[in-house]
Amino acid sequence: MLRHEGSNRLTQIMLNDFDLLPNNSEVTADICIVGAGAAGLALAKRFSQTGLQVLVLEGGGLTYEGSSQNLYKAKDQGLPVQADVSRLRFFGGTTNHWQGQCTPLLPIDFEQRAWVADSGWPIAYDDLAPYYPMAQDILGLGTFDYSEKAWLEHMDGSSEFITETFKPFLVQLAPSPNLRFGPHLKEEVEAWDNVNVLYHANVVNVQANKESGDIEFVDIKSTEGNLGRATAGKFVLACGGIGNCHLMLNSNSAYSGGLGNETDNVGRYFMQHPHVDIAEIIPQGTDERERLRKISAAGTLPEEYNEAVAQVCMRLTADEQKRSQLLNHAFFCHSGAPLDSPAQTLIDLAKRVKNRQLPDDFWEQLKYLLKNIGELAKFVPVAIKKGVDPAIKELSGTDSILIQARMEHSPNKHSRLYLSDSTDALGMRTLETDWVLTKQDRQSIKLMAEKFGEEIGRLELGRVRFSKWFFSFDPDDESTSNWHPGMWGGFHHMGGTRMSDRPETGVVDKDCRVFGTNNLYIAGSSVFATSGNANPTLTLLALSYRLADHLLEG
Amino acid sequence: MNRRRFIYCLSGLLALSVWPLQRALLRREPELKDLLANLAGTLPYDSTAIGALFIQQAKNIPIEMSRVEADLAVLARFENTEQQRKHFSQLCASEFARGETTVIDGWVLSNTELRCCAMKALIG
Repeated sequence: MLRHEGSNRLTQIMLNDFDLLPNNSEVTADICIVGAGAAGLALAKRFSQTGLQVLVLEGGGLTYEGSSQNLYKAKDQGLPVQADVSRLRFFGGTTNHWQGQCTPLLPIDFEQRAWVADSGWPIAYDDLAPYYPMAQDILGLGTFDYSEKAWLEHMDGSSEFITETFKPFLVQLAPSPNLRFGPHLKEEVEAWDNVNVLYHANVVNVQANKESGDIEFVDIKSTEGNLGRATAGKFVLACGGIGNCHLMLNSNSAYSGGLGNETDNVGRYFMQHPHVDIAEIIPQGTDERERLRKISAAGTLPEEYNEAVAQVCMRLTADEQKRSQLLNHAFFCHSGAPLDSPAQTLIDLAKRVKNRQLPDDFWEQLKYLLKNIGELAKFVPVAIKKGVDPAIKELSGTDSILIQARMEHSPNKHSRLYLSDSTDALGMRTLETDWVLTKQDRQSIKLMAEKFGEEIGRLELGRVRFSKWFFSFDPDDESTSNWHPGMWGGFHHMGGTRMSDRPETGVVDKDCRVFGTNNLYIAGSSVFATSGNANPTLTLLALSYRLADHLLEG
Repeated sequence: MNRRRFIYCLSGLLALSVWPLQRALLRREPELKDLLANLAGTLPYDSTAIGALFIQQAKNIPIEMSRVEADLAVLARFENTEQQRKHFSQLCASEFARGETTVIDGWVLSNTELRCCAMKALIG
């Protein structure tokens, strides 16, 4: 039930358009959740089983709308974040286009590692472990088991790849229809009698009382100009890895630097998982190629796993990370066209030229392309007709075993989101991003690749060859052009409102409560203190369920 | 050996500072050539080109050529080509396990195979 102060009556609304409410309506609830993406809807679903009155405010509509999506526009100053294409701003949030890849963080990700500055969470893996099965459940996944044991038993794995340096792990794919939270949960939401969702309800300000530390209300505004206000006993920001920072930095009426930002940590420690093809494995022979298929396999898990499709990935063991002081990197072996084929070189070079980032070996690459002009002459018409990737595959084959790195991003205060001087259609200051990787990140991935090359040689499987780009990749070079133009962050936005045991190094405490406030919490991957290498959604859902328990206990 | 090859060998060996080995190599060139060609047959890269690159970079990479001589002497005892290749592969594998590797032209290679490549480049 919502009280509409504007119309002074009680109305039962489960899923409604804020623009249909009278202007300056005031709505009240026990708990107000800002954002109806994965975290927000998981919380709402959990609260739907209680007697609490819950209000969910979603900025977008029920489906994609350009005017709403444009609010995500942010200028990238560092490596690419592409907020306006990576996030989705409507009911269901970014689950409306994610691929459904799930795997948990590991115990080492929560530990303080002497060789990784600012590492460590104020909670341990065991604090989160009970909530992972609940996250599995909402995603339509079964048994919570991503181990090498599951790979051996259910995907015809091979123990030769479980070594002191590397070991396999699984990534389970959330099945349809659970994958898309919006369409999947819409009917359920409409049936909940204590959860009310308002869409087109952008929260533009979170109003804190500086003296008491209470959040008193949030201001709502639609892109059509309708205004309103929501009051609640507790507020949870669940606007996504970028949206949470954006809202807090813009909520600056009580605190000039933004809400929760007295120690200048909001927006900082922003992380993604750099994804890039770095090398290929050249098998020694046909038998070795067959053996290598084990670590590039996808398959269907048995019934207790809800027959989920799973992929196998490899990662550094915790012991090796400690021994060699490496980050928790993983990689995915997949079939594809050979790295550095003339067509691929042409595409990469074109991207660099477009970005005005000429590589040092530009003339060598040009000579290589001219030498292979015949192959390129075949490639171009096919690429125009069928697209670039199919054309590369068609002309170069897909027999190569490529190694795609999925890197841990070490916590780094200088990697950040911050407000620009321009404003959006709601009058909020827009964001600029400065995604920055460190020398440690660069060194660590190079060393991991060498170690994997050694493992492949040790197992007498063949040899690993780095791509031309990766071979010349210089860990000392801070420039963005040092990276391959195809490198991207996986759209895994983490950090920005990181969890810590003290406000000097974070924004929220171990219960996801914003430091300096009594009743403001954050759900989502923005609270991640470290990134590990795991796709963030499963963990952010587990954290949401843990937060729900905390709020219910309170 | 023609004059050009001799100068090539000489300059390479100067870089490697392995005069005693040079003499040994020249004496045993035909059998070594066969052996190295046989080993190279299992390698997924152009061993001569990699060897030449390795020689170019030899100043920066520690090379113990006496080990190559010893390794090849052991390999030469196997008459069977397959056995030679198998033993070579195991030799490399044990080096990979010890992390005795070098990345050259993007290839992650064991130091033994690199030395063999260098020798192959020298002999031609």
